[in-house]
Amino acid sequence: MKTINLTVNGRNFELDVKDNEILLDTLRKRLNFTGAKEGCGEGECGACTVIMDGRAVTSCIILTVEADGSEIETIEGQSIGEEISDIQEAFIEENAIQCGFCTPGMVMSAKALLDRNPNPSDEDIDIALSGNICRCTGYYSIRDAVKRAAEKKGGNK
Amino acid sequence: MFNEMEYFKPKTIEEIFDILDSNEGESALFAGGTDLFVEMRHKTRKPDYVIDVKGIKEFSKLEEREEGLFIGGNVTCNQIIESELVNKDYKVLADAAIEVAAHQVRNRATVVGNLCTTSPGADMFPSLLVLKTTVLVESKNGSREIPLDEFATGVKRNALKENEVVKGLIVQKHASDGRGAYLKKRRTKGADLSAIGVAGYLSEEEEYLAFGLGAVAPTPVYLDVSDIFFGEGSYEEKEEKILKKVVDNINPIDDVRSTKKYRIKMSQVYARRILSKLWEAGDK
Repeated sequence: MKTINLTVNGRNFELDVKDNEILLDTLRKRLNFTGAKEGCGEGECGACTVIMDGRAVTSCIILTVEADGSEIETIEGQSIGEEISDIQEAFIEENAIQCGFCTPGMVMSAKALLDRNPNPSDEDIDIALSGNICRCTGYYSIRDAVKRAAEKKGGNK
Repeated sequence: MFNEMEYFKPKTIEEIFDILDSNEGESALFAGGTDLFVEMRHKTRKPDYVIDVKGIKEFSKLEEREEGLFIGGNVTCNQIIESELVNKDYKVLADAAIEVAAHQVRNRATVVGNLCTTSPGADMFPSLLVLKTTVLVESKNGSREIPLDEFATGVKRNALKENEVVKGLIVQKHASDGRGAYLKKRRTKGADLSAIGVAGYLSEEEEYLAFGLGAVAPTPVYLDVSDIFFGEGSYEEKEEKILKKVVDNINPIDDVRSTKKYRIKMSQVYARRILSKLWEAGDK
């Protein structure tokens, strides 16, 4: 058992965690951030993607103790009340959602990309989202949504 | 859920050895954990304690040194892809790093971890082999260096002894005309292991041409074909000899990712493509 400090969506948490606790489980089961999903559990599908210290990562293969002192961003932090983010809005406008299971991960990967690169090319988008699998196969609309989000944010003009 | 275990995060290399000395049972060192935690999920590994090396500052360095490029044990694949230094003088490493898994995993997965897992198809091996790389190893008894072409000893087995730690790598710097390429064949785009991976590197100034091949033998294959390429004969004759040497030095198997026959064929196709690309790049 270790005591750690974690910032999630700007809020600080002090937690006693078991050494073998997985970050995704901590977020979902203890802190109630259930937006990140468990798909494959092996870091391959991207449904559990969160941003950790500015980088998109798969939270299903990270120990919670490793995240001590880190800043985590999840899908819950992307909206304030009823107000959703540019990226979320763009996903809706481009119909880039079908069943929605992969969407929180897709949005977080897109955010990590646009935070570092406001003018991504199609290739940049494909690379940044290469670890997010969509079983409804909406990849083109997802790429369009990321481009639209970049435009909304003032990039890709 | 992972098995019960204890987590340590040392700040120095010496601390690693203290932890290893004072704990019993199976240990596992990790930086990105992208291989270890998948194995722990599958219960194929159940370490009693894990040692996270990300707290060791020396391991986080990626810098040019007198001997060549130093890649510390914590340097991730995405750091390699984004590094100006790598893209300028060691570009074939970035070409390989972008083929490792997918973007989020590359934010955690390290180059050294890719080597230490020692999968026959590890994407970083071929490019590091053709550039000539030395593995820097630390233990309680001191330091030693292992040439990368002697590092892999079998499928997921390597030359590291018990309680030895890889501090980093030194990648040799080559002449300014040197250029490389890496080609990977896989079943799907995105996160798939390689069915075959081939790297090549050519420098006329050094009279050096080498190939590195992954997923075509129990360990990655290094082939220095400088004597053929800079010897007598036409381009076509040399190419034929090189492709024959490639086939003579690989020993692929049939598995879920490919058949033996296809791997043999694609080794030649990729070696030919890389050779022609590198050769033509020199004409300009």
